[in-house]
Amino acid sequence: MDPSGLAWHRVQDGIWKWENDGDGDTPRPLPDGGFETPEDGMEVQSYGNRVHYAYSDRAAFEAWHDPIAAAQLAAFHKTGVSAINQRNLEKYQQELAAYNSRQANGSARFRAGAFAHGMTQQRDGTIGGFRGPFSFLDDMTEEVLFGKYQRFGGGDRGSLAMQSTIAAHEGGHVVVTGLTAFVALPEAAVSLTSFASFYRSMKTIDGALVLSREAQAQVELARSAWSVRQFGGGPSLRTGGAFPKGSGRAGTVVQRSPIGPANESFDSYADFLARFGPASQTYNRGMTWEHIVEQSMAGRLGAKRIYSTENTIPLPREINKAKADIYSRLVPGTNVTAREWLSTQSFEQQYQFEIDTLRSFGVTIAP
Amino acid sequence: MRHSEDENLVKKFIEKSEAYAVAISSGHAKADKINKDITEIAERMIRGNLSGYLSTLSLSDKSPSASAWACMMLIQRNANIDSEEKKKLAQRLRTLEAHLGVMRMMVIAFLSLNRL
Repeated sequence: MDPSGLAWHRVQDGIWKWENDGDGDTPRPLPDGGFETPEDGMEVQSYGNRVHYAYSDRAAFEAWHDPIAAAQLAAFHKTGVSAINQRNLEKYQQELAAYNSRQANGSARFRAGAFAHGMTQQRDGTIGGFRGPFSFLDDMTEEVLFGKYQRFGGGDRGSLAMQSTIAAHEGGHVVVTGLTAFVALPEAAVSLTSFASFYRSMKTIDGALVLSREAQAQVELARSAWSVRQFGGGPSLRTGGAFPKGSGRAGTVVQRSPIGPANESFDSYADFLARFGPASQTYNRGMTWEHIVEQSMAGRLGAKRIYSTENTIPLPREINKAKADIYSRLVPGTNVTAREWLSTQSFEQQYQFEIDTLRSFGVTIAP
Repeated sequence: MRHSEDENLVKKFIEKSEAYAVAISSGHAKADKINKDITEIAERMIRGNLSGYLSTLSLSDKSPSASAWACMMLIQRNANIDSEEKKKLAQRLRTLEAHLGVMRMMVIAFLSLNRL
C-alpha cells in the first residue's frame, strides 16, 4: 500500500489493478459481466458501490493513474504534508469510501459536476473515476508555495463529495476529502472550524489554495482573485484592470483547465447544460456561460458550432451583461446596432469580435 | 457663425465624444443618445463650413475618442470627402484603436459597415 492508503497491485499477468478502497468486499458483477471500457486499455469493474479498474498493461495503468499517483505521492512527501496526512489516514480512507457511496447515489447536479470533470457513468449508474479532480493540478501555479497544513472540518455538502480526492502536485499542498479539507497555507495558522469560514478567510491570504463547494479547486492568487476552469480547446482568459463598474474583482484570473476532449458540440444549450451544468454551480454564483458567438446565431451558423466547448466560456455575469449591452448599442452615426451588424459576419469574424470585446474589458486571452 | 459659437460646437463635440467613450465602455444606453448628439453636432459643423475643425481634431492626439469621432463623421457625413481621403481617415482610425478601449469595438463595426 502506498502512503495514500490506496492499494495498487498486479492481480494477474498482464493486468494491473487499482482499488480505491481495498476492503475486500465481494465483487458484484454487472449484468453484462461486470466490465466497462471507458478508455482503451482500461476496464472498470463495479464492486457494489465501488468501482475498480483493471488494465491490460502497465502503460495503460500509468496513463490513467499517473496524475493521481503523482499528486498523492507529491502531496504526501512534501515537507509538512506527510505528517498531517498520516495522522488522518484513517479518516481519509473512510471518506474515500463515502465518496464512492455518493457516486452510486449521485444527484443530477453531482453527476453533471462529475461529468464535467471527465468522469464516466457506469452501466449500473455509478460514476467512476478519480481522474477528474486532478486535472486541476495543471492549473495550480508553481508560485503557490505552502508551508504549513491546516485541517478544516466542514458540514455535509452534497457536491463536496466531488472533492474527496483532490490533491496537489508540485508545490502543492492540499488533500480535500468529502467532509474535510486539508489545506496548505503560505504561512501559518488559521484557526477555523468550518469550511465556509475557512473559505472566507482564505480570500484574504495571498497564494492560498482553496477548494470551492462546487467540485472544483480554486487557487487564490491574490486577495480578490479567483480562478475557474476553462474547458479544453477554448482560449484561456485572464481578466483584470478595466472591469465594468460594479464587477468588483479586478485581477480575476480565469485559467484554462484541460479537462475533457478538445471540443464537444451539442445540438442545444439544454444538452450543453445537461453535460456541464450551470456555470453558477460549476464555478460560483457570479459566473455564467458565455457564448462567444451568440446563441442567436445557432440557426444561421449551426447549433453545434454555437453550443460547443470551444464557443463557451465561463464569465463573470457583470462582464457578460456589459458585453450584451454593448452589442445592443448603435454603431456611430448609424441606426444599426453592433449586434445587427455582427450577425452579418462570419463565425470566425464574430468569434474574433467577441474575443476582442472581452479583451477591451481587460480580459486577456492566453494562447 | 460666430467664432465663439464655433468654439462651443467644437468643445461640445469633444465633450460628447469623451462622454461617449465612457458610456460605451459599460454599454450604457445613454451611449446611443450621445451618439445621436455627436452626429447632429458634426452635421452642424459640416453645414457651417467647420469641417476644418473636424479635420484638425481627427489628427489630434489630445483626445483619442474625439479624434475617432471626427474621423468617423468626416467619413460618413462629409460629402466632399473622396475615397482616398476616406481611406486615410480609416487608417487614422485604426491607429487610434489601441487607445479607445471598448469604443474600439464600435469603430471596428463602423469601418466594416462603411466597407473600409
